[in-house]
Amino acid sequence: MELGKISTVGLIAVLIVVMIVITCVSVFIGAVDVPFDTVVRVLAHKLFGYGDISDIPTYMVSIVWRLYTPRALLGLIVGVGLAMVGVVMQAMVQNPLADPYILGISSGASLGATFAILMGATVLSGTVFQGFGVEAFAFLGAILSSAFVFILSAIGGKMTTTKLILSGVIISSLCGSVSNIIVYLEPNAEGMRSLTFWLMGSLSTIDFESVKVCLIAVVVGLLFFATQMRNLNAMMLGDSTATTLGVNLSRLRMVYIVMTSVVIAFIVCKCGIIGFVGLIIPHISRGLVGTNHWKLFPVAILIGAIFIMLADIAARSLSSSEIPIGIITSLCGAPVFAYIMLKKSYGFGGGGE
Amino acid sequence: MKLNVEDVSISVSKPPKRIVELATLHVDEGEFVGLIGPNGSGKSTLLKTVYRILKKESGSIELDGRPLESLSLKESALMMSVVTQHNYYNFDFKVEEVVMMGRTPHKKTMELDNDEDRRIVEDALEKVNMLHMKGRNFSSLSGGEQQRIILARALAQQTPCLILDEPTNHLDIKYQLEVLDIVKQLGCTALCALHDLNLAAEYCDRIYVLLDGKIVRSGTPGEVITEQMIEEVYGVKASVDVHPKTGMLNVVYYPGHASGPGSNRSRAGSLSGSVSALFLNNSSDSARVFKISRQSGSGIGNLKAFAIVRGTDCNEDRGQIREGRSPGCRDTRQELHRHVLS
Repeated sequence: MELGKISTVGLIAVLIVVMIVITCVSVFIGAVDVPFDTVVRVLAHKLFGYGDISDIPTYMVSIVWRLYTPRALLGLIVGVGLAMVGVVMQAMVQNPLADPYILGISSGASLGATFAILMGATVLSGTVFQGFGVEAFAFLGAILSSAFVFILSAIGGKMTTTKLILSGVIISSLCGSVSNIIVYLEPNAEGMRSLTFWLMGSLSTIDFESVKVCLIAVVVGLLFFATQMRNLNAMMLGDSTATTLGVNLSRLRMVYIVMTSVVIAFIVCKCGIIGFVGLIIPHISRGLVGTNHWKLFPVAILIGAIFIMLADIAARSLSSSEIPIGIITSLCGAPVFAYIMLKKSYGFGGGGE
Repeated sequence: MKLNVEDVSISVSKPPKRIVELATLHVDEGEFVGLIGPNGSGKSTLLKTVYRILKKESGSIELDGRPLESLSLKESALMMSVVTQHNYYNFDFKVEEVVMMGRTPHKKTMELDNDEDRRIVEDALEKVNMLHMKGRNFSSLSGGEQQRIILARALAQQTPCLILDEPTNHLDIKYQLEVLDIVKQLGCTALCALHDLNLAAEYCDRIYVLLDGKIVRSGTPGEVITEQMIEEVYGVKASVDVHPKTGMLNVVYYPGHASGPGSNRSRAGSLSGSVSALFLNNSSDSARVFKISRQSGSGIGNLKAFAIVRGTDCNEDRGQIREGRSPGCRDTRQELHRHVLS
């Protein structure tokens, strides 16, 4: 049930409206009930300098402006980022199973976080790294692991998609086992708990600073990849065909890996590992508009943003304490994915049946 | 547009092996040139180097008088398009979208497809008789239909030069003829690897024959496609005649490989009284001894040989020298040709 050209434009318009509505809804929802008019007045004042909010208690203003608003925005940005990188990764490695973490970035980040949470304080005291927190180490781990994957797949001549994926697997399992060694050596109950929470992903520890960092990374990525629709399409036809169509694959791959790694490293270090989104959103979008990136790309990033914001709303409102968003995305994502997989009309490409 | 390949050698690194050696070929403006040779003779490797998937070791390739290295991939994609024999995509595109990709080198990164592009795509689909399939998913087509779509994509690329690597594979005879007809009608410079000698004879202006990475013959179909060539290069007995109705060359193969009419076994018995030759091949560290027996007064088709090769994977081979994968075996064949036949 793919849509034609006009309905694709219509779909994008609808998605934009839905996204804006959900962003607004997201601002209203949280642990503290804030009256509707209060939210509107605070936002109007902060955004447009309109009206007077001196009669609203300061803590209410802070909740709306410093807690709920950045969180809604972060959900939006992270959703866009994950969906965008998911689409690019699947094209780059020509594999429908690819997700943003396929090049080992999540396990690298996990290793960094594990180290920082469980061993950081004791090992690093007195060194230059003393002040570095979980985020810094997660970022470092993410970037280093992609760098290793990149180097590993480039050794011995041509970088192929298979070599890229396998290098990702190798680095992932290596980082995973080192993380396990750390966990084994430092069984620290409280540390384990915060580590688990980090690994499952969350938008909760958030401020405007984090939003700004992720926003810059995602917008830079977006501006770059928005110019790459033709190349992404050609990549999907395989290395040699892309080359004969004049696309310089080896150079593009290099740039793509650097761009996606940086975007994902920022997202992961701020929000932990939010699984499944980068894998299923591209597939859901392909089911709607097909493989052509001119249509796929905008649809995917909008659906990604909507999906993450909905998941985050669920994460903070389903129970009295917050549920990690990674659990929600996988819990909702798995059945949706199963549905599209079983649906006859979507064959995940290559032959279908 | 002219395509010049001069003394090109191509090697692969693992295992170290030279696939194409000092190949020289020229395709003139508007000429349809065929490249034939048995499996593993280096046809695809040579073509892949021409269309820039593989790197050459030495020699020069010039497109329109300009060395290939001096052109960007985009520039060369505007000059030559490629139809290959393998096209499998991990993701599904619409037929129309696949053909539209042929426009890629013509477009700037942010430029949208315009009416002109859509017209070109429709024309290309029309030419290969697939316009009615425009909205279908590529993966839902049969192999032959997919092949025609790939040709349409090359047509949409609108290049003065076309490289075809066995474009008629998987096609019914009707479409084999149709595909080659289309290419021929375009009148563009074409270099085409072909399996089918009858098709090669019918469509090519000139033909190059590749054997073990070397160009061993070249000329017009009449000069190249002969009983002797087929026997030497393919190791198959055949008769080549001018067909009374079509007036074209007609190749008919005899059943039973390498030996012409009659079985191997019966002819092996007639080896007595044959000439024996012994020579050493010094091309690798292990000495190889070949014992060649030849019936007096016969060509290579009657050649009976066995090779005792130490330290390689091709131990002993009775009858036709095996076309093995080890470099030793290849060398053997060449050596045989030189020593025994000349």
